[in-house]
Parts: sequence; C-alpha cells; structure tokens
Amino acid sequence: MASSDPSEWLQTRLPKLSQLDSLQRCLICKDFLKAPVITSCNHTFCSLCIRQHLQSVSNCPLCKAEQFESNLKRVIILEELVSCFRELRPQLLSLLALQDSGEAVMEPPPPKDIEVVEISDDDTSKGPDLVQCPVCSKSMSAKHLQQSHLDYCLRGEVEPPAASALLKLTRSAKSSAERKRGGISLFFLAQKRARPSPPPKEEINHEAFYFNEVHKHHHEVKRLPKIDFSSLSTVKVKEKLLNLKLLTQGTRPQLELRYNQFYLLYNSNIDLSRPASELELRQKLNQWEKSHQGFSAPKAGSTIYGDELKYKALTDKDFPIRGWLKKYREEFTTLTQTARATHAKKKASAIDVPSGTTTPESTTQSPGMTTSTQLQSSTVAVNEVIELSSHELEKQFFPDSKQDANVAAASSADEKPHFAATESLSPARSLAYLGNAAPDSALQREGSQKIAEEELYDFSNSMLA
Amino acid sequence: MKPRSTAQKRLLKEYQQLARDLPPGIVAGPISDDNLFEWDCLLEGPEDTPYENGVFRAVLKFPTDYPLSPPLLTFDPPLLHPNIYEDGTVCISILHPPGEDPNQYERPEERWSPIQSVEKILLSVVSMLAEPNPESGANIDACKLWRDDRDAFCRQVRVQALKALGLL
Repeated sequence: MASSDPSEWLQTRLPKLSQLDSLQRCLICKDFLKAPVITSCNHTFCSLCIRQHLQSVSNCPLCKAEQFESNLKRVIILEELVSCFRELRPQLLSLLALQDSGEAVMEPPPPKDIEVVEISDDDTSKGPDLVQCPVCSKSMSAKHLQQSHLDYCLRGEVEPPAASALLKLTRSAKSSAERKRGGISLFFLAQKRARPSPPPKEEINHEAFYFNEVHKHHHEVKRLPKIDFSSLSTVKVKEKLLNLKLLTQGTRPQLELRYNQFYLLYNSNIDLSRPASELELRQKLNQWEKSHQGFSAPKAGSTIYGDELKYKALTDKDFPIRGWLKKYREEFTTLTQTARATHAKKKASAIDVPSGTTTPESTTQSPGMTTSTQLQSSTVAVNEVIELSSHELEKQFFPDSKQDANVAAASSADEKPHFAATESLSPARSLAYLGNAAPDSALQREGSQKIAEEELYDFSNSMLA
Repeated sequence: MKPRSTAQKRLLKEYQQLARDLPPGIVAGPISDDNLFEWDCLLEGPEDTPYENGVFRAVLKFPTDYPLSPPLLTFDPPLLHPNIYEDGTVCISILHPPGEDPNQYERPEERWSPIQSVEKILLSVVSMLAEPNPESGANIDACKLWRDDRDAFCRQVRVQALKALGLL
C-alpha cells in the first residue's frame, strides 16, 4: 500500500477529517496505530514502536513521564476503530474528493468519454484496471466491458450514453433484460455464478468482534522474557534461540540482537487482536536482519551517522574500538587532563561525570608504575566508560564535550562544579568562563598529552587483547 | 530490493507531508531517491535578524534507528552563530538524545523524542537563528562577538549570507 498521510484530507470536502486521521496514528512511526497500547500516563503508541523506544529510554515520548514496558496495556477497541477507519479510508477519500464528486455530478461528461470514465459503483471495478474492448478497442473497466459494452459492440450498436447516476440505478434492470436477450455478457455472468471469486480479503466485522467474540480477545500466550545476556554462555543463548526455532549462526552480538528483536516482535504481536503466526514473525525477523547493519558484513568503523562513529554501539561487543580511540583521542586527552585538574583540587566531586569515570584510575598512576598495573587500571577505566549510558557518552564524546571540558577546566580553577556554574550563572558570566577556559586548558593539555597518549595506547591494547 | 526499515518508512512519510505542506522559508528533502538518510535543507534567514534575506544550506543526517535517535544537522558552509559549532554542526536541545541529562542542563522535555520531526527541527533552527542562546554556546568566538560587539557580528553574518548566495 502506498504510504498515506493525514494531509490527504485537506483537499477534500471535509478537511477536518485530517484530525481524525492524525489522531489514529502512532507518534513514533507516523503510521496508523498497530496493536495500540496505552502507557500509564495515558498516551497511546504502536506496541512495537513504544517497546523499541523503551529499550533505550524509560520515558513516554510524548510527556516524558517515567514509563516501563510492563505497564503497557492493550486497547482493543482502538485497534478495531483504527482498522475500521483504514478499511473505509480509500472509499471515503474518493467520495469526498473535491474535483470528482463536485464536477462530475454537476455537468454530464461528453458522450465520447462515457466508456472510458466508468463510475465505480462497486468495490471491484475501481482502480485503473482498464481493458481494451476487442471489437472497438476503447478502454474501459473489465466489468463494464463484460456486462454491457460487449453486447452492444457485437451487435454493431452504439452503447446508449447514460449519465452515471442513471447507469447505477438501472444496472439491475438492464442486466436482467440483457440476459433475456442472450447477449455475450451471459457467458461472463454464468462463469461468475459457477465459480464465485473468493473475496480478496476476509471481511472482518469489527463490531461483532468487539461485542460478541470476547473469547477471542485474549490470547493464551506467554510473553517472552527479557534475557540478561551477561550471565549466559553463548551455548545457552543458542539453546534459547533454538527453542524459539530461530537461527543460531552468527556472532555473539548478532545472537543477542536477534533474540532482542524477536522478543520485541513477539511481545508486540500478542497485543494484536488477530496476531500473526510465529512463522510470519520469524519471516519478519529475517527481513529485519537483512536491513539491519549489525548483520551486514563487518566493516571497519561502520557507522550510523555516515562517517561519524556510532556512539550507541559503544556497548556492543563488536564495537570498532580502534577507530573510536583514534577519532576521540583529542577529547580523551582533554577529559583526562580535566579529570586530573579536578581531582587535584578536590578529591571527591561526586557529580562531575568526566572525573567520576576516569579520575580514580588515571590520577593514581605514577610514571614509575609497572606496565601490568597500568594495563589493569586502564582496562577498568575502559570498562567503566563502556558501562556508561549512551546518553552520558554522547555528552562526553560528542563535539559539545569540548566545550564541556573547557567549562569544567574553568570552573575547577574556581573550585566550583561546572554545571552548577553554567546553570546558575548569568549569560555574561558563563561566557566569561568559556572565554577564560581556552588558554588554561591549552596549557594543561600540553603537559598531560604524553601521559594521556600512553593511556590510550594501553586502552587499545587491553581492549584488543 | 531490501525491505524498507521503520526509519525509511517514517522518513518517506515525513517527506511526503513536508512536500505537501511546507512551512514558509523552509525547503527540505532527501538528496537522492535511494538514500533517505541524508537530506538537503534550505533555510531562509528570519526577518529582522542579521540573517535576513539569506538562504542557508544545511544537511540532515539520520541514524538508522531514526526516530529513536535524533539526526545531525550541519550548516554547509558553516554559519557564524553562538549555537553553531565552527564546523557547522547545530547544537540545540531538540537534537540531543533523549533521557536524563547528567548535568541537569537541559530539561528532558526539550530534548529529542521520537515524536519530534524534521519540520519541528527546522522550525526550531530558524527560531534559534533569530534568538541565539549564549548560555549554551557552541562557538565561543561567536558568543563573545555576539555579546561584546554586536555590530561586528552582524557584519560578519551579512558577509556570510552574501557569500552563501554567491553574491560576494
């Protein structure tokens, strides 16, 4: 189906329907709600969309209230409402379209166009499925050709021009009359009666489903549990996948990605009134793998932001640590130096994130330390960095961290935690902080450059080992 | 053909909607048909600001997990503005990943959330052009210039605007 959007209603006779349309869509995927679930803050999203979102952030995308997957509740009636509206939508759109209904009814079309412009008086004859008449080679809908045009054409008569409304009214009378006359259209009618074409889609009575088929509302299926992968061996992970009839090939991170995606697909599928089979879910999973870069051939420094490194993947085991270190070497240097400065001034600064993660190890290092202890301590540091949430990492390692570091340097000179400073200061003063920071940090950077470089080297060694 | 991911579907939708109903002073769309993850944008400088009458080009790069993660917006060529880094990257709260800010610096409701859209991003960028926020400066030199010597700041911006239009 071509993708649709609420603004399509703006050109109809009822532009306000765009609101009705818009309200039935998920704010995350902008498509119609699929298996709608409601949060504890009473906002509604597609089950899959919100579950995906909650894997990384535990809040409602709309109001930011704290939110957990376990609180999501299915809204059965909304699902039925949405699918009802979706089924009616194309018809409603064409009925309310301004140019069609407004003009065509007012002025009768010129007789020449009568065969070409067939009115869609029933579901099957709509759409551009025009065929050519084998006799006069005019194009029209197959149904019109079979039911009336062909008779006239074969008899050498001209089909009487009928206004569309008239055609609609006299349709039944006319076809019975033609049957008596024994036109060729009988052939098609007979065939149709003998072998009724199956309905293209199973008609769902949403009203009956909601009110009368209550027993179908709940599925006796247990949700898949979340897995704590850190406590499982690869063999155990494969066993779990095998139990779900999932593929077990691929690297460990791929196995985990595969389970997590299936977990999402499976649990959101249960929120549907008419869930898909597990086989379909597995097919969806395969499709997802094809489009997910975690499953494409590993490239050095594969990314999400074009040439930028993927900060989120820092928690992945196959993260391109070498490229990452290379890219953020300078930031690291600045941060290390900031951390040292802060640590020297104040031993415990609990809120300062950069120093909190790197200071304990890095500052206790003395030049005379043995390599093994250095290695060990830097491993701890790396692990700590990896443990950080993606959000903090972004703050630390993305471009604005430069500025943060500067602010930190400046504020540490004043013995003040840096965000307290930026938060409470007037614009002018915080600017002064920023301004002063530059020369200070430049000086400090030179001094600590060498030590930091050694550390980076150790980082990469220990990570690659 | 590869199956369309959620991100691609959503980007396509946003593009269709933008094409139908474009906010004034903003043009945006994917660079090519086969890559929906990179968009070209043209922004008109807001009135009564030094950016007035300028048309500025910016590139939006979307992550593959869009809309769960925010895109990156970069002015090309870079623009002199307190909240735009020297390389052109825009620094506004709406483009920062969701969740709690450890610094308590930006309120969570100002940050990225999947309910935001390209249109909202571009509208916030236009209003950022009109009202710089020197409290969270990205370009320190621009911050200082904006604060200490507004005339010189405006002059430099005018020069950039003319250059961007190929008039200088």
